Amino acid sequence: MASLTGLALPLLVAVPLAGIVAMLFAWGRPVASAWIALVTSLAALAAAAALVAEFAPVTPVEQSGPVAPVAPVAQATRVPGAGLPVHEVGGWPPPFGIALAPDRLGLTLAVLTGFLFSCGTAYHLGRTLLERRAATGAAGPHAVYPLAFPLLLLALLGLFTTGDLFNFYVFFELLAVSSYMLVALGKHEPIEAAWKYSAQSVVGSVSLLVGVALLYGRTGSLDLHDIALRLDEPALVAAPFFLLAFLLKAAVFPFHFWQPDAHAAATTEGSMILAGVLIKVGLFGLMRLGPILFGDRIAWLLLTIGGATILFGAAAAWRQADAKRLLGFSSVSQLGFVLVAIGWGTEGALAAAVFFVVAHSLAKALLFMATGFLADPLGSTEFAVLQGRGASRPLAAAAYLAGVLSLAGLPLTAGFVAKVGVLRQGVELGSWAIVGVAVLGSLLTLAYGLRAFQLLFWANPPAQPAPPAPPAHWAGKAALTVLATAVVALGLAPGPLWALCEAAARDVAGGSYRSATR
Amino acid sequence: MTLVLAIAVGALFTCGLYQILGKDLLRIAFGIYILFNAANLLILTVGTLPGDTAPFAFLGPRPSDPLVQAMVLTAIVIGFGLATFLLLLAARLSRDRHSLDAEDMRRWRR
Repeated sequence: MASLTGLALPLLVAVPLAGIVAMLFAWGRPVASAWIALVTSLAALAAAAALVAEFAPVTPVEQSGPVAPVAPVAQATRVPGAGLPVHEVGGWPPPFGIALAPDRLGLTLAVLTGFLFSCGTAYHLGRTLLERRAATGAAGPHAVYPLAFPLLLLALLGLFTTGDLFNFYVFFELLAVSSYMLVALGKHEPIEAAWKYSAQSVVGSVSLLVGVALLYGRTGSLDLHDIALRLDEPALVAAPFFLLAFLLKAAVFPFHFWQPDAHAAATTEGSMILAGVLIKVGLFGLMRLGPILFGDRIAWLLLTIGGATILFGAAAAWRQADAKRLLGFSSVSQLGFVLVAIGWGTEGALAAAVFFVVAHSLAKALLFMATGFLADPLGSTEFAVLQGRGASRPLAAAAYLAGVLSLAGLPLTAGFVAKVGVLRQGVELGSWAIVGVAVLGSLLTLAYGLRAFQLLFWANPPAQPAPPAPPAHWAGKAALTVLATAVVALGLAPGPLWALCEAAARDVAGGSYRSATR
Repeated sequence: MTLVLAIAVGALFTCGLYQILGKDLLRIAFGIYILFNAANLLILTVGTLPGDTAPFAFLGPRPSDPLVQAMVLTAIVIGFGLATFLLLLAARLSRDRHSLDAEDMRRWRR
């Protein structure tokens, strides 16, 4: 199936580009734009799924023995990472040309991106159709707003698949700029949140650029595989700059200030995508570039930050009076778990980290969407307004509950498999302090999640009657159902995804930077 | 030459960092622009072939590294765009809130 390979990988980048062009022709027509966004996302999902179906491992490789630390660079370069797709853009072979050369981590996240974008744009379509039907005369989102979806899709898929360091930086920037759009064109106090987000994120961008420059100065190459070959030990000089950029993007504890505000400001579908994939980009960078930048030298740092993040995020989430800010702080807390797993750095821990990323993305997108079902008709996300308004929306209630249970890691949900995977690694490694923190964090997650659920769906509504809210649109309902099903299905049958995550972890730990010529 | 460039990069980073630690939104935006330019100069400085002549022109035995120039060209555009976007946001904020002081941001939160 070489033809499929040759086509699907460039299509991952070409499809969003086509979506951008198509959307320019549909300028100012919200419904057409929403349809284009949805079709683009579905096409990207199909391309990513085709790639994963072809390159997913059928048989796991032998080495499932005892714990091995992350391979140092010298060892990493011996693993060629065979059997992965490569597309040499313009026919120039690496390291001279720029190649799309994803590992299985990138492919996994590409599928996740396509799936979440499909759900998010379906919700966007439903909301747009409802707004047109209502014809209230209220100003909808700006005409440029739907353009953010294919732009972000392009940036994310490019970032997850590129094999070139400077290309990585450019996609990182494209990602940042299009996500500023998502926040700045949001609904609640958007400009202030956009300033906070942009100013902090831009500092991360400068930091990443400096890191790229230093790494280039050290190795004289930009091809990731070539860089790994030329380094005989981790590039510790460039490492702090990459680390700052990635931690800012991931919004973990000392760098989290922008994230809850950005979530509260963005629209529902914007928050879904921000929380679902955008903040995961920092973790992707840590995992993908970690072997050439840090090796296992910063495990203590990641564990410290991760543990502090888990507790701080959960404690802050408990105190929030705004449904979306609560979910934002919850993301801060949950990403701490992933950081801890990356810090442990064994193959099992990395597999758990990837699974955790997927499970958290699905659950958090589900929670944001269910909140949007309540909040969008009322125009506010504060608990004081939303209190008890969900009692008449059983679908949203069921979805929200599934999301909360998965977030807290209760059985029969995807979050359970993820949390158990992370905790098991901690027990195996005897890292009891972190395990204790993680268990406490999970309990706090359950506490604030159920508190939010109780406030939204169970509490008595405030005295004044709610304004008549239109029923949700079928597109949004379908997306919500699909997402909730995915959360539960991955909890019941985690096998295939877990195998994929293990393959991704092998690629990461083995330093699978590769180019076609090797 | 490298020493001069290194000192210049250091000076630019110092200025930029000092500016973004201030309270004035405009100064933060300009500080970030200075930081981007410092990073661009850094890329030029780390170029692996310290050449005497233009690349691909075959004017001399030691051409410069064309890759750093390509990178800087891209990075200049990105940095300029981002700084412009920040200035635009600052302009909107000053119009809506009649202030450019970062201290006021805290009060704006609902």
